Amino acid sequence: MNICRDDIFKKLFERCQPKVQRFLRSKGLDIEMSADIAQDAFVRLWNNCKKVTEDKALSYLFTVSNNLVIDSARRDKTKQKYLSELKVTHENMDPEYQLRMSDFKAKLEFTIESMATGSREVFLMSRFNDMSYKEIAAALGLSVKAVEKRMSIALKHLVENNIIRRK
Amino acid sequence: MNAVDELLIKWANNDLTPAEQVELGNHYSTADLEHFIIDSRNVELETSNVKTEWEKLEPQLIRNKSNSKSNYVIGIITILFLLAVGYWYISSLGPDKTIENRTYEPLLFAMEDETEILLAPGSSLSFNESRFVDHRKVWLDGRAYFDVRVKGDFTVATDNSIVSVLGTTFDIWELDDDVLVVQCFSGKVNVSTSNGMGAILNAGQKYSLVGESVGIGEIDNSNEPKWLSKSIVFEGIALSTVYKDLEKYYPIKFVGHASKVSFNGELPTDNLQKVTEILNAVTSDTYKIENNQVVVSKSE
Repeated sequence: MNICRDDIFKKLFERCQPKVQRFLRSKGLDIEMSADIAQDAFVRLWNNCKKVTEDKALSYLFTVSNNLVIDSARRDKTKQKYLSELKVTHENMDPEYQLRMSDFKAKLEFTIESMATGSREVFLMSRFNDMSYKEIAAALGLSVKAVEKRMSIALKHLVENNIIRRK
Repeated sequence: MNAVDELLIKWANNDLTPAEQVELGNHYSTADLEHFIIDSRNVELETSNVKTEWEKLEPQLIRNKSNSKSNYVIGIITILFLLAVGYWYISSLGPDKTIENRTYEPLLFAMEDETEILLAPGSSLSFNESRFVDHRKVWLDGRAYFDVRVKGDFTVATDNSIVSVLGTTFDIWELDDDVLVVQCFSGKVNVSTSNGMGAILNAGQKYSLVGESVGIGEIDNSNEPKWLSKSIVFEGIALSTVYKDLEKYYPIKFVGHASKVSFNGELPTDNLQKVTEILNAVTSDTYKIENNQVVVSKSE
């Protein structure tokens, strides 16, 4: 379907913008920077709306976003430190639940921050952006095997930090 | 990577079969795995408000749409510009110079391509001076004799006809909408009239369109039109038209009775007295020269 129509493009934006921004956040960008780059990606999608079909739009946005991050990193040589900003979304007022989630969030944030960059972005994309290994591979320009390898390292890290325990 | 690691990878991608799930449970705490899935669903990477982001994005899309509109407008302007250039080019092929013969004698002049033209009294010829060599076309009002010496397209347009030639000598006489006579003395000419008629004339042929009467005939045994030898031949021409033509050769006006009779004959262009004598002899009207007029009256 042609996405050049205002109403279709708006619906596509509402559906895909959070995914694109989470993808960018998985790559270590803060909320403002990830929002800005996502905007740029959507502008490019709009400019190419005649060439990109609706079913290919999300993978196009991931690819463009990834390239924009690479360009941005080239321009800004200062290495960006990953900022862990997980947010608890479930509003359960049970104090026991709140305590458990607070503990889980803290342990997870610490574990994620200590992961190697490649493993971290794959893990975050998989876990917090519902992306399959195949989708991650396409978005990052990697093979599925490479993604699985990075994920394996991330999972070992979770095990080492007792988030997932062996028997 | 061992088999258990591979199961863990498949678990994280939600790809485990029930059997594999059991196998993984032999190595990892199933409760931990389930808790991890449930708890991690309750945390997320914080993102911006989608509505706010759309409000920021929309003006940029509108600007792009404006660009599309601008491109559309630019496209229209470009087309109009090209049409204007085309019109200018076609217009520029039109005449920009006119030669009028206001004398009572034939006017001889040569064009840049060596074509010689004898323009009859009271006639005019226009052409595009700057483009004539590449685009040999002239516009004739009246009568002229052409000697086209260089081969190639040469066109004479009148109000009601177009005559195309290929290296030839020919004569054209057109008077208002009443008369068109084309005589071909050498070579070949193609006559096309505005009402869709016409003919290809070979040397020695003439085409005449008088009123609605069309004829193709032989021309007299001569190499040039009679008017160049001080006389005009009229064949079936209304007397009113004959008067109009004669007024181009003499500084006079025909006034008085206007007969609707046609005239056949030859009249001199250098002797008005003789003209009136001939007309008095062959028509039923009376012709008298008074000052600068030829007064025509109906014979009693």
